[in-house]
Amino acid sequence: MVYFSVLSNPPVCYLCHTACMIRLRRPRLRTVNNWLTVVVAALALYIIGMPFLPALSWWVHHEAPVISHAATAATPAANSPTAPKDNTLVIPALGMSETIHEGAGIHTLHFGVWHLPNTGSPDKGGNMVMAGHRYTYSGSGVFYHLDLVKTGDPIVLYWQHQRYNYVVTKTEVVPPTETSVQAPSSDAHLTVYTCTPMWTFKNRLVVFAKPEAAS
Amino acid sequence: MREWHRTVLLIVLLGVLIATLVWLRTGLENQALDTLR
Repeated sequence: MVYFSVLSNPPVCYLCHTACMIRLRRPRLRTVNNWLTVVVAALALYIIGMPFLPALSWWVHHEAPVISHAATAATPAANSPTAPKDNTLVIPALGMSETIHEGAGIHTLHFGVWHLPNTGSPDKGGNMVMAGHRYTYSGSGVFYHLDLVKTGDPIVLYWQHQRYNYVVTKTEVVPPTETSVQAPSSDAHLTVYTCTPMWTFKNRLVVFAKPEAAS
Repeated sequence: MREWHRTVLLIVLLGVLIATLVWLRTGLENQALDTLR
């Protein structure tokens, strides 16, 4: 509650109209400015620092063991007791395990990894295409480190409670107009892409993978 | 610089930063999505 008129000097109590509570002086403008400075500095630090947080986290944790169910489950296409409940994309080299989201619209990307509609799936074959943000302030940047994936790296897909193992065959940077990477195919393979270079959406970084047995 | 000048400056700066953050969280993402259509 405000008991003092902030305009009067010295402050006057609203209740008794005297300076009875003279010790409670109005806040000085300098104090307000100091707090404003702290808020502005914190916000600026957040805007500048947040994009580098995943890189820092990677630098700290990248030598830690990767997700255990990716490293130990039986292959190929066997039911795994540790398989996640949802359809999940696991890239052990990145320590990444993300739920795959289905959706007709492009805004499904806001939830994480998006399985593009009308593309293949591990059980039905064809070219299964998945996309994800590289970095966003809203936290849906799942492929921040996708550029670290190399040819020969394993990719594990949990689909309808079945495990499917893939091996990266190629990584490529293409312009956004290169939609052939999403084209249907007769053979089963995986196409994962995100924006590149970092902080831009100029091009697409595409990772191609084939089933382990077929590679 | 008088104290209230600093106040005005800081409030303007705060407004700019909030607007930037809103744009980064919504506008920029939608712009990125438009390139995928």
